[in-house]
Amino acid sequence: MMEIALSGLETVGRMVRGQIIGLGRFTLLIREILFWLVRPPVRIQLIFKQFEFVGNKSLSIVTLSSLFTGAVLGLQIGKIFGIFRAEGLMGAATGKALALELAPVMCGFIVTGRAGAAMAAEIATMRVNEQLDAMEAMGVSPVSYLIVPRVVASTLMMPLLSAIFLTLGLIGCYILGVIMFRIDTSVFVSQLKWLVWVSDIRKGLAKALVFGFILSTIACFKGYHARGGAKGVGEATTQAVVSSLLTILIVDFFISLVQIRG
Amino acid sequence: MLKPSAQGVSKDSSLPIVVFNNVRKSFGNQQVLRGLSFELKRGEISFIIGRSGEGKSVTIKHIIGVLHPDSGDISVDGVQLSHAPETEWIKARRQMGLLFQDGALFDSMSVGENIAFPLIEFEKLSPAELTTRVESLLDLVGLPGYGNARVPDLSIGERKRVGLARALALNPSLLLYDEPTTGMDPLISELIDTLILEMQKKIRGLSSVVISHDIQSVMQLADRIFFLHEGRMYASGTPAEFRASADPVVQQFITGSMEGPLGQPIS
Repeated sequence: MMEIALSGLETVGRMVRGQIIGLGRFTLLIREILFWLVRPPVRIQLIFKQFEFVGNKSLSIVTLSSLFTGAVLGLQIGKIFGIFRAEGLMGAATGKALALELAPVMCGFIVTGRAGAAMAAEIATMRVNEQLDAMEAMGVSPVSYLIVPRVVASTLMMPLLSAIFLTLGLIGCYILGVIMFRIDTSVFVSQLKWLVWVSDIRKGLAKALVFGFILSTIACFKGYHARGGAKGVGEATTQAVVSSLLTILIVDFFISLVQIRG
Repeated sequence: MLKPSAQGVSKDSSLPIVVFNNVRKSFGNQQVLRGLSFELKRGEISFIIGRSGEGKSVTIKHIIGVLHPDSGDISVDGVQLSHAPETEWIKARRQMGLLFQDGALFDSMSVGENIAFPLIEFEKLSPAELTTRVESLLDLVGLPGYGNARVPDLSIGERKRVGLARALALNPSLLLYDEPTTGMDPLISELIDTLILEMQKKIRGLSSVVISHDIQSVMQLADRIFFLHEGRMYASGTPAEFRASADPVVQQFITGSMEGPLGQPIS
């Protein structure tokens, strides 16, 4: 009995130790990212390449998903509001939800799945094939060369993608509202203006900025510390996606809490 | 006379290029380096030999600072680096070139871009100068016209030669080779051996450190041999001293005998 308890304690202790080590490494990586962020060389070309990878290549999936998210949200809200004869408010309610929560969170999910996973896999492959070691051996910091451009591009691209998501989501909602609920355009727009404030959009974009930083640092961290061949690359990619998605949701709650109290 | 493992080596007046003093390194519960001490002389070709898994690659990664010791001191070119900040290591690494086991080429880049990588990072060259340097390095390793080739299309031998060209790009004063001839046909092995010797002759004061299992290359090229065994420097000396050694462990290793204190490879 005592042995089982001790073994259980040992397992818990090992898990806690592992988590603390992981957190320490993550903190060190963030410190190094911040160090290289303000220190030459500024790798403009690599940053623009990542803008293209994170932003441009995510655009089609953001377009499609935002139109349908806006439409389905409008459909559900319109249906419920219809009970109270308040279908006119569907655009405003959808806009509020999109601006404050759905646009940044959904964009975070999309960019994590598309770009974050690719970042983790690419860096992990470079780690297991000793390419990162080779870079370090040449006196080039992989954090400066590989990670900083990805983090900068993701952090700056996320608000832009989020703004596009919001706009197209509203368009999706508007199209559905006009076709299914026969809502008048002027009612849709006036209610939207009444309920969705500039500060809501600003709050949503701030969240997107934070999510961009989170998803890219987690993806790069998991890739950077990958070990052990193809299996290690797969594990790093999976962990990067799962950890990013969970962290985005948790951080979203706390940012919302601060924003509501503020 | 073959020297036994030297513990607690101190810096002497001949200014060795690399000094390891009681270096220890573990990965999890596995102790790889268990108080490793040695000095590599400047301007020599030093071979580090030992059985697989004895920590030869780990040693070379410590020299270049990709791995850091759990304890002990490492000096490169007279600079104490084991506890130095990363910026110091980055400076030190510019004087070193490392050829990895399989080349460790960036597979997202072409062969030319791989070789140009350190030059773009550290030397301000015009595009024309860059092209000329890359072409001359490709010529040097026997791969003329390979600049636009894709890395995944290269054979292992070609990868190693491109890796060597990249390692030589910045004219390093310390050149490290991690098993340069492993997995190569005899002709390519001979070419790499010749290249190691040529580099040593061409670059005045160049120090080379080679990790190898190829005893023929070791005996042919080495100025000094360092035999790593059980995480420590078991013995060091010239090829002649190794040949003359009566130590059964050394003899079994250099003759590749199945019988002896090292046991059979599988056991």
